[in-house]
Amino acid sequence: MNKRFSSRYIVGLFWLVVAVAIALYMHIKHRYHFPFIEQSQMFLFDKAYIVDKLCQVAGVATLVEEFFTQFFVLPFVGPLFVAVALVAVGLLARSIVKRVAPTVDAPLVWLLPVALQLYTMVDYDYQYSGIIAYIMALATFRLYIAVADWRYKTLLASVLALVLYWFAGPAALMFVLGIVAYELCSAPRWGVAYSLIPMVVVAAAGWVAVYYMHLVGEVRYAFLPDLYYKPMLRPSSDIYYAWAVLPLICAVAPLLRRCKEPKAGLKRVVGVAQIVCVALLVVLLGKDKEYLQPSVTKFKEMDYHLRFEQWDDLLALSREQGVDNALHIMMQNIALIQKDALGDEAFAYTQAGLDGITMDWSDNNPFIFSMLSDLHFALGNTSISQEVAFKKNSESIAVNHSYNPRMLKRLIQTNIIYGGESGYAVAEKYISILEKSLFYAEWATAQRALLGNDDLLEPMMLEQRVNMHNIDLTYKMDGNFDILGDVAHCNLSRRTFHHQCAGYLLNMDLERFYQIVSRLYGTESMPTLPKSFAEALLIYAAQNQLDVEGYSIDENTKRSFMEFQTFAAKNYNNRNLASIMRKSYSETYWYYYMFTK
Amino acid sequence: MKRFSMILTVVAACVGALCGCSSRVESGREADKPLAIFPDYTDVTIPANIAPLNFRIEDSSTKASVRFVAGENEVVVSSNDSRIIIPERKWRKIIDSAVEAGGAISVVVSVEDGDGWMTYPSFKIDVAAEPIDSHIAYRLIEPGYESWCEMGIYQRNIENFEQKPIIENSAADYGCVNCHSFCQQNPEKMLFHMRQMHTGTIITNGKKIEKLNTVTPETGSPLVYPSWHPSGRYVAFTNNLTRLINLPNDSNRVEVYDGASDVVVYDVERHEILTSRNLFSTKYFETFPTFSADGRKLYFCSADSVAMPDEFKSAKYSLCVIDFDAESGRFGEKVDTLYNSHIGGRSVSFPRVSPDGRYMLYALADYGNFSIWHRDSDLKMIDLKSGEEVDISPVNSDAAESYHSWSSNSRWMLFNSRRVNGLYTHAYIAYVDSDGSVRKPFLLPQRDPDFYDRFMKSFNIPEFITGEVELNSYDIAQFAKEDEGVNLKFKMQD
Repeated sequence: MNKRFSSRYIVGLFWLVVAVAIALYMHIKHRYHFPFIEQSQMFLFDKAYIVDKLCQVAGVATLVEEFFTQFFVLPFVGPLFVAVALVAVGLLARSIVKRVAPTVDAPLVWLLPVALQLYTMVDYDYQYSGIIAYIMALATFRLYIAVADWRYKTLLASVLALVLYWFAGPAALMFVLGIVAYELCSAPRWGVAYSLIPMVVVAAAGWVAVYYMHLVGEVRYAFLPDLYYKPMLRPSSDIYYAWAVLPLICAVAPLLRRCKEPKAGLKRVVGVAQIVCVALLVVLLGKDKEYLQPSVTKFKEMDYHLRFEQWDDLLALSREQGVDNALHIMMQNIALIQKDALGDEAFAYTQAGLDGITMDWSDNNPFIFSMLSDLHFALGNTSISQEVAFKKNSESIAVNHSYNPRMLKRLIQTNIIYGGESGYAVAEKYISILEKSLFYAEWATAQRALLGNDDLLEPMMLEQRVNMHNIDLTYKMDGNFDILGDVAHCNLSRRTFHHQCAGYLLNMDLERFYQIVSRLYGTESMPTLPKSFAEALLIYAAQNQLDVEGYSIDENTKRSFMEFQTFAAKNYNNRNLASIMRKSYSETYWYYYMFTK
Repeated sequence: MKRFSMILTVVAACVGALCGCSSRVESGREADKPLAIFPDYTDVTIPANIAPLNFRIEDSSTKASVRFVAGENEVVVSSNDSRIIIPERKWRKIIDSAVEAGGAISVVVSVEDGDGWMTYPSFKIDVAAEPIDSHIAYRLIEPGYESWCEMGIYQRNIENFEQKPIIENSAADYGCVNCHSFCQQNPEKMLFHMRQMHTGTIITNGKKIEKLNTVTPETGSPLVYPSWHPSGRYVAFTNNLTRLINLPNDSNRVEVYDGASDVVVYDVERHEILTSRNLFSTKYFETFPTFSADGRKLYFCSADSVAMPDEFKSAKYSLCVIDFDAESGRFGEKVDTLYNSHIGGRSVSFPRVSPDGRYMLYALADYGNFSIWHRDSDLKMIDLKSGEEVDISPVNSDAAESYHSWSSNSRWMLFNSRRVNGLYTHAYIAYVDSDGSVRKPFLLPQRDPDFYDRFMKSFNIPEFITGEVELNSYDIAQFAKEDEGVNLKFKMQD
């Protein structure tokens, strides 16, 4: 094995290790981030869509991003994509340094852009078009330094700058800044004067994009990495650091050329020391805490289970790892609703009052819209499920200039449920879009068969239609419980009113709870009393000297309630009463009612 | 090199031959089913200066050939995928021929199926003598609910397919931009509102831009629906408290209503808001003002003030009119009623008078004033000379028809309809004869006939303009962001 081959082998092995390390880190720590991102973007195999993207600033970078992102719905693809992208950054940066200063090894320089972008890869608001553009800028710079003659270099740089601006957007500014920095640090220094020409080209391209073609709204989107960040937000400083490194590499590379080559032994020590420095930097930056907030990570994981209807997995996660906030509780409760177990098992899980079971759906926080759409769909409230799905899809269009496949599916479902000429026409519009995707086309085509064909609708969809009447009743109720006489009973009405009752229980409003139970008990909407409802009814009955003989409450429950009351009365002054009773009663409504503030 | 040139020549010759072959279908058997095209341009009346009416042949994905015949001339457009994209030059040629020959184009559609070519019965496109204003302006926004992300007010040259922004919210921190209005279709005299971010009303006059802070202690909230006085000196506005509710089990799934509303007139020169007790009362909801063509009358809608939102279905708006003296800025004392909702039982919105003063268009729905969400909303027209209603049923459909405007020559109406799918509003254009008869409307043509399938926004408030708004949208946005705005005075007539 000759020395050159051995060196290449070591380099290849090094990058393989880096790639595997990154992929493993991403998979272990952030695996649910990628499908979470995927649902807000959609690549279409459609000429008009591709042409439209190519007409935008950074259109190629966006197209590449969307093409790869569609595969994030599959396991391992997201981590692999990030690993490959970051290794590409490292390889290109190393190639630049090696080209300019072949005798010097400077891992610190070419590993820095990799390290600084590691965490930005899991920033929900930073789009992967950023890393694609970064790679394109590095590759373009590598091409630039391959040419020696300054006339060809200037011409090439100007053309490349323009093309890069079109393909990758503001990355072109980093590229030309890199050229200026490179020429400034290279001999002869007059080369810097020519390097200003591509700078002018990019400035002109940006200005035309903003002022004449209106392709971007503000100057900052034309020249800064802000274009790769969600509009309406300001990028975190991490993004700017990562981008600032690009011209820095271009400046440092020619300086390294002037360094004397150290002895082989020392060279190796310095090289390893630099790699260790970068590794330490990654750890010491402490960004893991920032980008790996347990509550957000758990939200993404729960959202994944919610999206793919893995109710048992979701509930197991809630039970085993606990919940951190009302959003987690909401998702846990959606799973219970979907399993028709809310009334029986709600208090076997952590609850936190009304916030965990209902939320102001008009709140314009797009982050939670998918979850809210799922909640209301589960409850048979097609109207709000559709509204928030529509808002979420609109947000995806505005922010990512792309559809949201998860919400498009919901819009198709809800429009088919509404039916009629309009409902089917709107559903058809969305179906024709989904049919151009890779992963949703089959599902969409199956829905096409339902258009105008009520006979093919699943029973649950037909019940959703019927249940809108019940939803309307809940809106109108406002204390007038007698209108419950008009309930159109079905399986979904059971969910709707179980949810309504559970809400009252969580709010400890036993009077309203009783008003509903007393009217619906024995009907198809409430044929029996779920466990927590029976427990609550016993409290209400005890408070109001009510006879519960007409309700099917088993003797064990009654006996248990007696024991609960007796024990609580006997130990009323015990400060640790809550913790003492938790063991036996924590899964009962009695415990929630007595000890939850 | 020589060999390469030869190959190129042969390839070019083959391509040329193929193109030539595909351009003409001599004959075909008669179609056994009716022709369906989207947009439906069959038997419509168009202006000579409209962009090509590109369309798609429905239920067909095979080769198609369309022959446009007018007078002695004909052009043939071929397609391999049922989309008929008419080249600009061919379109102009056939339109010119139609104008010379008296105004009609015969269109013959043939498609190739498994059994060869099949020809549908021809349909007609009439070309009217009167031209249409070269541009229209509209807002593009998601159809519904109270939220938005990205929106803008755009101008479209309808002689071709060029669309440019007048203002986009992406240039102004993503606030809301709405209620654009032009004085007499003049692109130089325009206004629109900005909400949430850089709040104010932007009003332009040529190159001059002004920002108005329209909230006064008396009005309490910003001014909303505008309508210019023909002189350009005044703009009538509403002052409303608008709210939205969801109706889960109603065919109109959303209701937008006013909890309170009044009408005022803004004096552009004095920066003063004028009104009278007849327009600014708590007893009635007054809204949608519009001036007569001579500027001496102010039309508006008025409903009894009912408890909102509980009684939103009882809010039915009548069409009223009051005198206005532009010299003094004073209103008349008497309010006349043109359509009485207590008698007619329905609700009027968006009255718009034709520039020649002859006709008034308005929307009529079962209740309320936000007719675009009402499937029952139709357009109606009154002959202001005779006071009679004119039948304009050709423009109406089962879906909502609502916002509408007139071309500067009063021969074309531009209106919104949801007829394509009941949700997304699209802009339609219809010809109005001098005797008031209205022809079948046509959907705003697009370069790609599939455009409306994938477009996810509604065309909101379509307005004719006689030319292009030349102010740069970036300059307008920068001004809106930087200018503090002019505060307005309020004056109630004695």
